[in-house]
Amino acid sequence: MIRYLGRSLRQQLRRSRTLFLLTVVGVALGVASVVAIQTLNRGALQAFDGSVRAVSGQADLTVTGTIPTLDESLLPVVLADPDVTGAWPLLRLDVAVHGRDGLYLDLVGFDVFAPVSYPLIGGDGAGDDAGRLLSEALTVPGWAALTPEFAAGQGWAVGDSVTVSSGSRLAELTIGALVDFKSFEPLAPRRLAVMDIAWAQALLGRPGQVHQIDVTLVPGADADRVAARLAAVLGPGVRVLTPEQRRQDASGLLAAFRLNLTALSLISVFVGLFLVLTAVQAALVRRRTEFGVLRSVGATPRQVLGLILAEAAVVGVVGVALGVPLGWLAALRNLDSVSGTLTSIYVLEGIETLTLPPAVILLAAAVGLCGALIGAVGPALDMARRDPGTLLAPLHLHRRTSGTAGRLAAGALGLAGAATGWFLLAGRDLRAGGFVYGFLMMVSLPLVVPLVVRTITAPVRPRGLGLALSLRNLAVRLQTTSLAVAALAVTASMLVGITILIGSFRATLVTWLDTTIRADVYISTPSWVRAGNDAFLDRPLLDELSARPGVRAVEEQRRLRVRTADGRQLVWLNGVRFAGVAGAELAGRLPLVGGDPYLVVAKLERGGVLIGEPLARKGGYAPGDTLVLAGADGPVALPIAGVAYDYTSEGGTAFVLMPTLIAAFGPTAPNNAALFLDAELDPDEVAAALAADYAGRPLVFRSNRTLRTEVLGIFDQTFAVTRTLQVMALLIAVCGVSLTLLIQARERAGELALLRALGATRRQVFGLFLGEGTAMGALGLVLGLGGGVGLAALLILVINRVWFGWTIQPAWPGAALLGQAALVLAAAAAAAVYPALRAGLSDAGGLTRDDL
Amino acid sequence: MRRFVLLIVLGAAALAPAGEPGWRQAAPGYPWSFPRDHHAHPDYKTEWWYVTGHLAVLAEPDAEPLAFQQTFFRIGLAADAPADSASRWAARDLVMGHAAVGDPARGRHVFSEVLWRAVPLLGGFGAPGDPVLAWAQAPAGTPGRWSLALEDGGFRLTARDDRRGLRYDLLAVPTRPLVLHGEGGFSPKTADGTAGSLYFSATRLEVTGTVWQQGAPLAVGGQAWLDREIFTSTLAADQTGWDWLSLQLDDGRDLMLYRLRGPDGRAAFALGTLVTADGTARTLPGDAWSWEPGRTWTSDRTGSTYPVSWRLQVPAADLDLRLEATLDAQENVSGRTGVHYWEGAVRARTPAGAAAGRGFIELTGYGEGSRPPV
Repeated sequence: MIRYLGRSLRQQLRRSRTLFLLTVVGVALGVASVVAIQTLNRGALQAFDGSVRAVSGQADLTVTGTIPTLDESLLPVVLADPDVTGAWPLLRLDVAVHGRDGLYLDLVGFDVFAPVSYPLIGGDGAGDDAGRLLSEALTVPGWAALTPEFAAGQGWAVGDSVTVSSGSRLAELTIGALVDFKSFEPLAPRRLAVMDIAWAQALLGRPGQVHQIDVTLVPGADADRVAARLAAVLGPGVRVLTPEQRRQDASGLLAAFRLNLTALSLISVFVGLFLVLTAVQAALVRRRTEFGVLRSVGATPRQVLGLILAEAAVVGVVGVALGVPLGWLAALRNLDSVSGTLTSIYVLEGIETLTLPPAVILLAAAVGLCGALIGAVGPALDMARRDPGTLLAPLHLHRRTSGTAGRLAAGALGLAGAATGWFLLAGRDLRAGGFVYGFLMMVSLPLVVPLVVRTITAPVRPRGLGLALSLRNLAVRLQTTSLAVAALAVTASMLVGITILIGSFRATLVTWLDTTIRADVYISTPSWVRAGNDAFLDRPLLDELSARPGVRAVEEQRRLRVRTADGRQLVWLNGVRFAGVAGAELAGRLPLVGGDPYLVVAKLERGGVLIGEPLARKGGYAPGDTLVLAGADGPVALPIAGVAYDYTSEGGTAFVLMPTLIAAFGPTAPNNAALFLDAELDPDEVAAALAADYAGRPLVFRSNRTLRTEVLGIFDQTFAVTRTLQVMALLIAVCGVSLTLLIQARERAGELALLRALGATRRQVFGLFLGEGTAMGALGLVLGLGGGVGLAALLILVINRVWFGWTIQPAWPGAALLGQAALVLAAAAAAAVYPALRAGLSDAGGLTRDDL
Repeated sequence: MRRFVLLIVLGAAALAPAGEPGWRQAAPGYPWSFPRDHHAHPDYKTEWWYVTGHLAVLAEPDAEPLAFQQTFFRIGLAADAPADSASRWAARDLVMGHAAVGDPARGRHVFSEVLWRAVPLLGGFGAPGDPVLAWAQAPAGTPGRWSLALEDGGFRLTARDDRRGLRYDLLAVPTRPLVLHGEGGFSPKTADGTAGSLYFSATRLEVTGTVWQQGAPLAVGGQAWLDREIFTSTLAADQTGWDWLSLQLDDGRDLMLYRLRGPDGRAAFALGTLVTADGTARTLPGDAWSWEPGRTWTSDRTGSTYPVSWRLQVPAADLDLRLEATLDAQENVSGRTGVHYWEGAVRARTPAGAAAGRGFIELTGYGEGSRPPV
């Protein structure tokens, strides 16, 4: 039988190469989407891991502040713990390279004298150089070690000076050494720069501050117990984390992002399954006679089943072999946009390099193989069960399907009903409930396809070789056409659902920007993009700005990354000072979910906090509750004045007036500022003038309009990867259409020959097939529109609220949807061209006795 | 790797014996003034406070006394380091502390060390007026500080390392005037006098206090010796290490000898000081005495072989003594710097075997990679 398997595969490849290739491509695309997504997901975590390991790889514990910085005087307390063998402080800042747009260094200031082996000096560190470098690191102002890769990219060499900025402050680094941190930690970021903590603190204006204290423990010490003990002696403003806890922190932050991608890749796999199902079906239909013969010469049903499944497995293997590299390429192509999202939205490391871990390959192999086998098992069982006589007789396959169309639809309704019932009663309380519900609905959608196709196309009475005949043919060959239409329907659902989601989200964001972005010119710094709450504007600058002619008021904003006192929720706390802006104006700018804005402003003035909607949802907070945050000296309780729409972070945002922030967390400089100008001034012109006046300073001036454009740009970048996946799913579905029609061209060879014998021209036969393809596209589209609207509703109203906590006002992105409809139709029509050409080649000579 | 790095940082002076830009060189004619000169001398690259002594456990008066050592080193990093950095981590110096307690009766010698940059959080050196002369954060795993401070006309010494089981708190009060070695306190280290140190000692200090053994406090009393050296460069390129000796003789005299050895193991330069009971000091040139090693001991940890018995003859002082280590294994091995040296208590006896006094010997530069980094 194995020898037969080999021979039959060779024959299939020779006789129906296109069919075989399409099947393989279907599997490959499904596998590719899994590989791409999983690789990017892992890359996101690895980027974080690599940066942690490169800097704190030797640490058993890390002490961090609940607010970003920590008082360095805690170091002796840490050192005194009986299980501690070493402790050293780190100051970590993302600094912008002055004058090089978008170029950042991940600057780590650490105690170069700490008892930790750090590759400050290349090689084994022995030799005269080692001592000289260490001595220079301590004594040469601004001494920093950079990676050779990064320095080479900029044309820098040892001894060069590099100006960097942190907030509005400039600092001069001296490249003291080039160190390949990757030889020490393969995932170390290329842009890592290391310097002594004294220079880091002095040059970047952070005296007394550190971001973390890394700790090593005696071998065999219980890290969790030491962490608890240290946390107890260090006081409330401190968190002590094991490396695993730090990793979980990051993966928690990324959970929603990763889930979003995973769900999309699952849809691709789901669509891919249809393709496999179609292909196997097709192959089996074509080879009925072969199986009939096999059975006649003594093959058992089991052997036939085995043969079919083995062939499916081969298709799976080839699909995996193609899909893995394809997925890898897709991941690389999307690297920049995903990386950009990670840094701009999640304030984490961007992904510099991707790796393809064996686990992902295994997962992809499992998906590809299982997909192929699952797709094949139904038709294979069906084929194996038949007796040789039926197999050798002319085709009756479709009669059966049309009989089951009703039953399938009833099953779909039952499934959808049960899913809805489950969701309403229990599922919506589960975090993943929305996804499960969506998945079940997506499964029921294809089940109704045969009934819908039959209901629409069966009543058509063709009067010649036109579109009506094309439609009628769909009903006649319900089983194969249903599969293709179902795959298209699922894909179109995804396209439509996600397009509506993105369109609605964007429209909501625009409205929200209209309410909140009211100042004329916004001032931030190049390092703000990366360093976030660690990039400050200096006071003299703000004074200069407020004294500038035409400036009516200056608004300052300080952003602080804090946690709730229970440690569960990360909160971006924004302190805002509305200098010279009347209270009434502030009230008008609060995008409140509900309540009286004047009352909210009054509460804010009394030390209240306005929380963002995601925080309210995730933390279960309502106006009148108290938000308890972990401050440097203990819990900080803030009465919640109101809840506002907020789309800046899915983690949770809160706003207080600056005096409240300072009272709770101490005085600090602001991170950003905004100018309100006299009405006659043009913000774009003022922004340009400011940029010219402060040309040598690390400052970024954006007019209201520019800022808005940039915010929407980030939004679009976030969803860029979804587009790639949509395209993949569409490709898979279109392969399905091609495949279906190819099968039909072959299966209906007799019918086509008859048509030709009766006088049909090649062009007419071509048109017939093109019509069928387009009709399948149209049917898939109609079903997909329905499914897509449902999916969008689910995404917007359920999944988004649970996972992101945002209110999105549903909107109807008409133009985008029309475009996609046209794309689906055009793709389906295009997919029909090749099969139609093949069908057009048939001539009356192909007529056999059986066809008459 | 780290230790080599450090060794070289510490050894930067040794690699450039002829002079370190920016640092002041030790020279004759230094205007001594106390208590000011007990404090640090930041103009010079290196200095140390070296206290060694013998402590009888009051509860066991007949047992062999405990030996103890406390040393603080100040190691200058850069003469022109910025004076006022915004960061409290900006350091001009490193502070290194070595502490040891030897218990010959139980055959135990415990050594501990600290090495930090001298910054307000981790260690440093008090300015004149401040009772603290030197201090350092205790090693990781131990709370508190090590310190050497002026107190009640003497010196308060504390050191603690819980992980290694070392802890003492001692008060050492001089019973004799300070002794300036060499010419007015300038102690040459080469025959031509191009390198040397500012060097004085308190040759007898009465010690009282507490030493903790296995966590239990023991009241102790005894005698100690304080050595202070301040310099920018000492070892010449052709010098590999030194032998140093302090002896407190039962007849009331005190003796200090040192010799710097060349690569062949022979003395390249040697000098000594003899102090009479009334505190009068006399310089002993290298040819006025002989100090011959006898029995040796080889360290399992470093493989270095050290002499542990000697014959000492100073004809001009009518001295002929046999010196014997109270415990062979008194080697200090620094995990941080890779430096190892023998610093141990010795008994002095007459050729007839009568007890003649007690002392301390320091042997550096024995074995591979042990050249002292100064």
